[in-house]
Amino acid sequence: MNKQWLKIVSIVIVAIMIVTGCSSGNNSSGAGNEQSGGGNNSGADNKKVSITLATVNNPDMVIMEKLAPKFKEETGIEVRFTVLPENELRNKVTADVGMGAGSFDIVTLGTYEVPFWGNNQWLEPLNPYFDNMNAEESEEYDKDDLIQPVINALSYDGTVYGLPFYAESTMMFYRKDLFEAAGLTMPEKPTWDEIYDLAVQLHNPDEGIYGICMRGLPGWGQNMFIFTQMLHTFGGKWFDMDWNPQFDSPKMRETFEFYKKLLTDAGEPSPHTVGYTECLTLMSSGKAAMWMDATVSGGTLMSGDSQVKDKIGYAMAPIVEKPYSGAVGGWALSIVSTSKHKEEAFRFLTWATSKKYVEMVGEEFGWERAPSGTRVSTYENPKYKEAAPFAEITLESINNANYEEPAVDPVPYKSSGWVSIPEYQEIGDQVGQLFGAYLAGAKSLDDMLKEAQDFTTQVMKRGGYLK
Amino acid sequence: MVRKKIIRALLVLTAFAIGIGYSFPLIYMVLTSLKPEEEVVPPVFVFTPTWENYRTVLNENFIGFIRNSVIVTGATMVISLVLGVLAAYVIVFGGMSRKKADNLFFWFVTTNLLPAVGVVLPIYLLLKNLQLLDQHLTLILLYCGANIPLVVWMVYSFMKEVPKEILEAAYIDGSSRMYAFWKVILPLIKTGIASSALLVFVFAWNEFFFAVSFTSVNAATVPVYMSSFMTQQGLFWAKMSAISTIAVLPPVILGWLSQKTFVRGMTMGAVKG
Amino acid sequence: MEGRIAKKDPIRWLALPGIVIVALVTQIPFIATVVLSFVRWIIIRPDQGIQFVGFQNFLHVFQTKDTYVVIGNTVVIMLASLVLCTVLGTCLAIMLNRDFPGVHIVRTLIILPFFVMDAVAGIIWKTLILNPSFGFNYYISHWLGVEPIDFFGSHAIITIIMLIVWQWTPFFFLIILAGFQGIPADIVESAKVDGANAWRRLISIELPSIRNHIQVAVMLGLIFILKVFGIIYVTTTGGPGVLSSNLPFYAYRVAFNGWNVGNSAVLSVISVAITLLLIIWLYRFMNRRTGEAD
Repeated sequence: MNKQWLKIVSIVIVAIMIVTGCSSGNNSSGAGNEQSGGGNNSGADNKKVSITLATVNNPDMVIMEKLAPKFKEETGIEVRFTVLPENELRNKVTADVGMGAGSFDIVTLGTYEVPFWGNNQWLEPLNPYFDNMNAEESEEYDKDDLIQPVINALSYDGTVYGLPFYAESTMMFYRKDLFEAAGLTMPEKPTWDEIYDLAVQLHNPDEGIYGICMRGLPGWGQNMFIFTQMLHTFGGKWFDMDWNPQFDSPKMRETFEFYKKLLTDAGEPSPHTVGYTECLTLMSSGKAAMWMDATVSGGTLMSGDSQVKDKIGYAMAPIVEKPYSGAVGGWALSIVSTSKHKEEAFRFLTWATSKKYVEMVGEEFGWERAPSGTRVSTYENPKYKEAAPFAEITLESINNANYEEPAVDPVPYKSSGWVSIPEYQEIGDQVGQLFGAYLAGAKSLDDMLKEAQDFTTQVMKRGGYLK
Repeated sequence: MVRKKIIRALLVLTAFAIGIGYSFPLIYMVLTSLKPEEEVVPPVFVFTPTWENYRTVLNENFIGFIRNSVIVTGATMVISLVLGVLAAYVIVFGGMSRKKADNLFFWFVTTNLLPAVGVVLPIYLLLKNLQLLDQHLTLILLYCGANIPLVVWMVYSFMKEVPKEILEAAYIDGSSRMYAFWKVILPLIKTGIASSALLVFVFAWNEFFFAVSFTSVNAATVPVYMSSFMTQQGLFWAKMSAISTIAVLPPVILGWLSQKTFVRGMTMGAVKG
Repeated sequence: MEGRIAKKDPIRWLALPGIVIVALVTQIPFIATVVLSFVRWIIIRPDQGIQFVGFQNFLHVFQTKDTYVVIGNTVVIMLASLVLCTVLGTCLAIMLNRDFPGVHIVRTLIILPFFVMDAVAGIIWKTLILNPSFGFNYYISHWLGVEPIDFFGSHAIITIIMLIVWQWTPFFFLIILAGFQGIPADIVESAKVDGANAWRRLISIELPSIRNHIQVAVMLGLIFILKVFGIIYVTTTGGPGVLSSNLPFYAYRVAFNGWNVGNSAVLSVISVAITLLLIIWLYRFMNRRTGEAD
């Protein structure tokens, strides 16, 4: 009796294993975005080529996913998407590519990663592919139309490793109506001192209006992103030419103090819990009079989700010593060097960053949704300029971003709100945490600076930058 | 008499108040899912409901995610329950020495002390070398490894409570072990099995970290899909509420159904202490 | 006794599939983690390669002040949550262990927080409810005329404990209620007949009967709460500083911001060690108290 029972049980288990093993072995539709029936195969024989792409769930990427079937129609290549929030995407892609797992053919990366990933040989250099384009393709794609500063930010030593899907800078958003009511005007190129004065005057927490909203949430891409831009325009820097961390410098101290003062006197409560999304919510629900952040927020602030649709004015990112302080950021598409479908991947890259693609988005989804910051021609298009009132400022900011020489003094790194070394993620994360503690009143400025200095020095030694 | 009824009514009301108060954030989440995105702030209870969030969230990709979740959770539940109950049975009724049984029991619980986040990178390495990334089987195995001990622990305490006299009585009547198991033990531990099933379901259904880390395009489950609505750009509170409401329905339905088994076990009454 | 069963009972083989799967899936990664804790591997610096460095990682981790704060937090969060969950869960189970119209609804409402993904629950609490600028917190404080409480400020750890208790009490509730429901009705009946009132029955019969279940709930709860990650990740990101970080969250930061596989493995090993110690101690403690009953 017992033996029979054992047999039954083991058979059941084995059966379940087989069933699930089959269903996963088939690589059936799963969660990818696929539509069957791509009729015109360009010589793809019996095996359809399918490439995998990892990306963030930003509105522009959502549109790209929606338009991907058109790519399949044209070329017969199927694109399967993995969509994740920014942090998870970065983690997953870094782990995957860093361990050589090869889950993806194309990855979406920021201007932070692309250069040194390219240098790590994790990404495929794109120059040879451009060289291989025939005259007709070259002309249609018009590589020179791509905005140069953005391409620079996606290259290492002259080799291009990514093509910009959309690019952005940082700017100051403000409430025209509140300014008018208080009899104030926003200068076109405000300084941080001017911003402080304006914010204090507009700060009215009893009525539920905060003078300014600034990111305070800890993170190398959160509070540190805004802080670093402020630091550089204040005349400070992260490292000197010998890679010594500069936390004991007066400029560093001054910047931290100013940031906190601005928030304490005129900013949102509990700033160390406020990241990009919270600021966006505050601004679009009418609770903040000013907000300094990424230019793409302009799209959301103008959209149906926003409660302050027609009340937003735009100004350049505030400065102190340098004439411009905006970042050159955004998302780019890169080919992973372990990909087995590089040619096909390159075709997708050029398709998604082409003039035709911009047209497609503009016509089908509205011109305010056209990818920003990638091509000069987009900005010469009257339809785009009309639909995106902040386009001019974005372009000017990107063109003048101090990517190669971010600080007043010479520095050994490049920057667009971060420091262009792989260790920055760790350093920025830790300093961001310390900064958050300082903002929350849980740490004094002196303690914070000392701990930041010690931690950064130790990481830089481990990384071989310091002896 | 009337006083008793009033007190009873008050107690019932209190119970409901506590229930609603306790789950208020979730009730509010469901409300939020019906609001248009621009009306999420400030929080109001009166608004014009809309289905647009649900429409956005239930696009054609969604089917794939649900399918994967069902496969993974279903298989995990079945395997974990079967193997877990068997293991618990062996521990309690398998005639092992008391010490050995205790050790085996304790071993089961020590197997899951590692936090998922700490072990992702090592597992990633292993899976990559075994070519097991992005497969249903991978998730199922991982989840079973985590949940079988859970079932063993839950069911163990119920099995221990089965009065020996009842088993004796069954054997005296001449029934085999199998019969004793199916007809006598199993019904008595129904509640234990039901609550284990529910817990395993919830853990597998909502598991996020491994799902995000080890799947990409083929085996991604509903939590991975949900995470794409916790995006950093654009406002998403209403949409996130919508997809969460949908995702929470299966566990709720199962929880509701499983309450049927929460009926006091009736011993035959044939055995008196 | 079951004397008719032979010495080496073949029935034991039934436990094997379970044991095998669990062993493979949990022990191999653990061994891998231990091995990696002796290795220096910074993923984003492939040029530095993978090197064996002995106990260097351990030294480094134990020389960092933050490590101790995090360990302390982990233990505090666990103890506080465990006690609160057990008490609250038992009270709720006692209250809902009776039949009244709608009892199923109330029970489902209580279990509801456990069914939602912890990251989602965290976001709802942080944004819609406790947010001092646009959540209920703001509007209620405004109405009362006080400053909105900064829930995630210097006392973030208390808020985290609160959220964990909120989410895990249903787990305890479920197990303990199942235990109550498993008490044979005739035992309760005969006690009633003997003249025992509700309170007496509770103390002398019902609570002792569920001792096993409370033990299960507490042991499992301890393990799960020590591993909590999602809530911290979406609400406080372990801050301010590391004031509300626990070991899993800190290990995550080291693994995915520092890309330091070795140090992260060390933290995981520490986490396992602490959990193991606590579990063993708890197990012995509970068994000593119930020594006679089994």
